Amino acid sequence: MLDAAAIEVDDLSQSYPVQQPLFSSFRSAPPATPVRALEHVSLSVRQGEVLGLLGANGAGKTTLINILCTLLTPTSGHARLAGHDVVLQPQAARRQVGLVTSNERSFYWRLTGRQNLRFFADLYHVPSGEADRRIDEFLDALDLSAFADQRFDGFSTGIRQRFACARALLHHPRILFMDEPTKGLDPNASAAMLQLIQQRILKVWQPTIVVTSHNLTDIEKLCDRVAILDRGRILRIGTIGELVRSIRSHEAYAVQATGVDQNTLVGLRALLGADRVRVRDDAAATLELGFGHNDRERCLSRALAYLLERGAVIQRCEPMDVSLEDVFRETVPQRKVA
Amino acid sequence: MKLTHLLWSFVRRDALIASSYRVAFLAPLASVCFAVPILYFLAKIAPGTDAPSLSPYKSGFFAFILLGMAFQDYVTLSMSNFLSGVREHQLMGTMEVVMLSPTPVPLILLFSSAWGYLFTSLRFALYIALGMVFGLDLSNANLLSFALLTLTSIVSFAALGILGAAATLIIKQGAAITGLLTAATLALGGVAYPISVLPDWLQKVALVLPFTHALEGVRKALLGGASIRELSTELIVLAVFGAVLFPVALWVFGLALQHAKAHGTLGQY
Repeated sequence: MLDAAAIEVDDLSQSYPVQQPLFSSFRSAPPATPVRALEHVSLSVRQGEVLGLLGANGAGKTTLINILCTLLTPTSGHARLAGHDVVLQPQAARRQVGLVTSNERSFYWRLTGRQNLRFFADLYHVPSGEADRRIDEFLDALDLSAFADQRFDGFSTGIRQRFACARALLHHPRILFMDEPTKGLDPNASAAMLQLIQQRILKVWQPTIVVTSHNLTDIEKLCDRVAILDRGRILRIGTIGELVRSIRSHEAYAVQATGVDQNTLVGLRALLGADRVRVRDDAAATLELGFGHNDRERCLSRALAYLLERGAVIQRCEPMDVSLEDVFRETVPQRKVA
Repeated sequence: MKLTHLLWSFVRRDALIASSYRVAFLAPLASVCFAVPILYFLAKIAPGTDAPSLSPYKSGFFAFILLGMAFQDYVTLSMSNFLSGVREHQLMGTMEVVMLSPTPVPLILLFSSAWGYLFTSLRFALYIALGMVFGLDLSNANLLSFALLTLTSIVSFAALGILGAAATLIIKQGAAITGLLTAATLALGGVAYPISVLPDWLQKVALVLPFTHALEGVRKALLGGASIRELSTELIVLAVFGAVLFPVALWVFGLALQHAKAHGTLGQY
């Protein structure tokens, strides 16, 4: 079921005018440059796919989600949800969408969990004869039955996030946007939320999901593909494997060995290529050896055999995995906080 | 989804939230219990309660001011209801999930105001009931005329309130504008004195306000028993106000919503 595009974004840009202080007009101050929140963003998400949006604060993730949810009108470009243009057919587009926001205040705190869900079921046009059955189904599936008739303001952040999932799924949307679903959750609640998304939401209801998070481990666990945004632009997009290969063209191994002299290093560089051998840690005598993806096994054997021949003692040899965090750091330049 | 079911859903939500604040829920009703005796005793000491300016209403000053005070609640509510509906959603953080629903925004706006009008009608009924305890005579009242006039009035008042809500979406503090409009209505609409006592030029200003015509009609219907035919002037004026203002208000609100969406300020306050 990964054929049709559930989400199509084409050359989308969004800029906001900057409001000038009232008295600046009397001082003939130059007009402020508009803030460009998104610049020429294009992407496509297949039906049933989970796409992660990564980026520093202010990168444009929430702006993109808000445009796709029809809560923001783009300055230029187009976006379609299941074929419905978000600007020209907003009502039809909204029917396809569920939003899990990290904003705990997006519920009526004076109402119970069930009263909240009942109101949103009606608002989201769940047939009245079916609303109660669906509410019970989601309360049960998301382990919320015990909280259903308690007032919302008494819930923990984790329970509120579960209710946000239940609300977003009530009308059986084809596309689910999750804006930082684990924000503010403790490690246990965060793990439970991930498990819920993987084992319940994805397996049972199979929506297309676009998720943002600053927790890269969450993104690694959940997503089929990841888009990295910075200053409103998509810098990289692909599967995690593709992203890893995009920043490193070779596989790397850390080899900790004693008895490696300069001549051995020269010989090793001649064997593998000068740029494939780096001394990572002089004190611990650790070398970083790089190999092409296709000749990894042959080259690793040759390199280790060469070291042993030259009298080196190998204490440890392990692959150096590239994490999503490495990709993120490599892609998004760190900026000084003003 | 039936509209009546959706309307009931909004009313239930707002009634449950309102009643969860017990004191704030009961206080507006309790205040009527104080207001009516105050008006009664004020009418007793006010000079000229049999003034010629009151003769068209076929009653004394107590009935005149009681209906004025009770009915002006609808104006006060209309000016604040839509505006506070938008603002509370912005402040509470529910604005975006409500706007994300496939329910059209005008329906959300109108249905969100329904509970306010129901509660105001309850207060109005309490004013009348307590007024009758203090001698208010409604034996000639024409309830059908009154009901039709009230409905027509609410449409006109609501239009002004929706314009205030549109202002809230743009300038975030629309209460300043609607507060001014409410004050003008109270001063010129004939709440505490007939507009015939105002200077000529102010009377002309008063006639521009839909409330002036609405209150005039309410007094005629409840105190004088005026029929729909006898209230045709007031009804036509209010219908014209509503027919022109209401679509304009919804259109302006739509523009304000587009502006907020383009500028990313929908949830800001």
